[in-house]
Amino acid sequence: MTVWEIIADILIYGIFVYSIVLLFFYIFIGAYSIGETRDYLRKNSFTDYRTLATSSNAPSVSIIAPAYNEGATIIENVRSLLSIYYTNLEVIIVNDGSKDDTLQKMIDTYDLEKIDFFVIYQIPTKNVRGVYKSKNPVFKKLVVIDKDNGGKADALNVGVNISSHDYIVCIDVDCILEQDAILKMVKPFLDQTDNKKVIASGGVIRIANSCIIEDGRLTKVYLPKQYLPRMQSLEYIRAFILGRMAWARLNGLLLISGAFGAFDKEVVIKCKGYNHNTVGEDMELVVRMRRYMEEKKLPYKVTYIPDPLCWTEAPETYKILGRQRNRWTRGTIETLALHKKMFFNPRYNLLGMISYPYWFFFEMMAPLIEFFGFIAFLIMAILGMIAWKIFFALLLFIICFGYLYSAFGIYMEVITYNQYKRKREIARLALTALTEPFIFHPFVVWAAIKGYWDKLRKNSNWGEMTRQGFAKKPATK
Amino acid sequence: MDNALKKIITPEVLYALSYFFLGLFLFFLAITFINLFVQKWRYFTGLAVKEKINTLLQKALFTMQEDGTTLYPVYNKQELTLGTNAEKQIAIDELIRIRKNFSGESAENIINLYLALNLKEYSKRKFNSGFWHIKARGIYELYMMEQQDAAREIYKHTNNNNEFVRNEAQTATIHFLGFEGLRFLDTMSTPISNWQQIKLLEQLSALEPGSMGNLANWLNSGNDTVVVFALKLADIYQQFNVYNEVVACLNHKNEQVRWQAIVTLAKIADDTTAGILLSQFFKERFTNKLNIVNHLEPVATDNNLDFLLNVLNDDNHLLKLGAANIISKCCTDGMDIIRQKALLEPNPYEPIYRHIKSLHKA
Repeated sequence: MTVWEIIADILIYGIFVYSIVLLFFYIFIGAYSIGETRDYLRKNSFTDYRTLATSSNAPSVSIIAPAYNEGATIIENVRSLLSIYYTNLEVIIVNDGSKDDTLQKMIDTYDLEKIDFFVIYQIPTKNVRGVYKSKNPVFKKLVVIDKDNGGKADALNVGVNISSHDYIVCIDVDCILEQDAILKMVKPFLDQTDNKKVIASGGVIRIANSCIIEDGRLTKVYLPKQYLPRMQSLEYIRAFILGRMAWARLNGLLLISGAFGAFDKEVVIKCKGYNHNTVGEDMELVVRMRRYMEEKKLPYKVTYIPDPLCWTEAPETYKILGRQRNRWTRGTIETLALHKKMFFNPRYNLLGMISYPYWFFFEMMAPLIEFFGFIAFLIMAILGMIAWKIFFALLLFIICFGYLYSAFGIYMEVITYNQYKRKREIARLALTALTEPFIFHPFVVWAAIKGYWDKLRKNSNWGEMTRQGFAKKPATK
Repeated sequence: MDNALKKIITPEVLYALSYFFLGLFLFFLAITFINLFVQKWRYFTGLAVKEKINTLLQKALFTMQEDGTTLYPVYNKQELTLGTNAEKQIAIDELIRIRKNFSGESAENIINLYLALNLKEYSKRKFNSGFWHIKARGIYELYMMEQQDAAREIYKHTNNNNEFVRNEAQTATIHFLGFEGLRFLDTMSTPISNWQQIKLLEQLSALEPGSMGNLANWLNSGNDTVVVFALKLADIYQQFNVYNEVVACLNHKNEQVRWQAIVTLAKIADDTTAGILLSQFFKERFTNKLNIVNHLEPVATDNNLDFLLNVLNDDNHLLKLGAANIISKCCTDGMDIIRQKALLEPNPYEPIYRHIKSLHKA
């Protein structure tokens, strides 16, 4: 056997072993998520959330939504947030130094006036220019903050500083929340009976492309018509219904999406809020909060609820999707680098021994391994070193496993919170899954590699996310 | 090693596994579509059952005669037949949904229909189940349908090891016995979650306030969540008779208990409360210090001005702001005191003064 053959074997079998471990993780995640979702459904099958909505004893909640150049949609977005069903609620919109008319539109529409407000910078942030409240009692829940531009993390931190309530729900301002979203998000914080403090709770994000939105509310759910959003719908179903539910059951969640997450404000402040030096501020905060609790040896939990509560618009073009995935990759690298101390560190228990290594090997390293595996494959193919028989067998094996995982995800979606009730939609979702290994997945890997490249070049751009806007029901004449 | 791997992981093995995965893929797709079909079938079955229930309900609800007397509705046997357990469950859910919107005679007629449909037996079967989620559901249905004869059996589960069974049992007990039902707190050894506390308080708020004879004992319970719940009861129902027990809770080792005790004390305050809270201030960590300052409004007077001025000079801005707020509201010429402070030390007292002024304006 030549040296080249040995290298080739190492590569082939190395990747194979890596894939096997990943495959077993996926099987475990799929199986383990069933229990968590089943328990959640059972526990909440006859829960009357109205109790919480109207109770003066319910905990107080602040929704924090940063807005930057959202002038085109801000009024509708704020209206949607103000219509949420919860008594002890404060809606904080943070205008992050927008260059357009975002602030002025809110002032005009919601009858806002600047009030004298002593801002306590518990978390250091950029300067707050002003705090606005409505003169109209109808909008008494609304607080608008105008601040110098400092990015999303900085805007969220300002919201945390200004918030007067016990729990904070951080969302993207253009997300559509279900009416009972806050009720459901807050319940895990109240449910604890052991001494484990719930420090954060995440909710499922769904894709709203092609859905009908009326008056800031989602009225009709459709599977996205365009390929990329449809593919992302499938991706989100797998990630949220399988992945995050399983990690939540293990109490090993590292990520709560920045689009919709609830946090215990006290712990957020103790951890000094969002880190504005990373583009993955959502993941970084959860990791830091967990690390804080581990280091203080305080028992805690990070929970996740499978209800589809938050709807967002997914990128429809490869350009925008590429930027998003590029940013996600850089965010993961930055977060894991900031907390490298936890890597296989038994002091951090499950967080250090399982969650972090999983993210390191199978989330952060996966695109690199795939990419270099592909390069190695090309070189070996040119040099005639590929054992084609086993290559095709391996390829088929991995592709079929991917299909199986997608089908299982679709099945779990249908038997739990089925949002796509038409047979045609489920069939399209399954067909979309068949294309994933050839179109979507290679693109996502490529975007992640660009993320690595940008990280090496120290590019810390957020990456502009142009949105198309939701489908609206045409106005009746 | 390499050869060994090659022997195990042959293309044939990989192809076999691939076909296996492909088979499972098709299997999951098939059961997904079957599930969609079943869901659709259930939906239409549900509609049929609901229609049947609504027809029976029309009979049950609109039985008032012109002279004001009520006729007990008569159903025929065929009308009252529900086939599968799924149909029974849909019927119960529908009856409970409608029951929530009715009271008095109409509610009674709904309950009579529940009995006539023999659904009580189905609920009792669930109550006797060994599965916690089925048992909890059985309890829920029995109390929503006012089945008082099950109260004694349900009461036994108020301290059940399973959280959801005991939550439903506690709710049922309050539903059947009102404030009297709170006696389950006497022996509670399991925790009551905040969610359950809110639920019970909401349930009690709809009732005429009743006896809480054992409140003092609950405040001395070894179960911290019982103490917190009792403190909330003392707060909401202004139980001045347990003032001393509430004060004693300020020495509790659990910070949450002390937090709630401070809140309650401010609500059932007497002349001694301000002094007690101020001395407690120096024993507490930041969270409860702030809690004390924020709850001084009902009790603070000019006598406490020195203390409040000290807090106003604290390093922590939240405490400063809290103290400024209390001074402005509770002390003679309070706003002037803050304004003078702002003139002497504009940073940070000038914005604090303006903030307080703005609060007063609102």
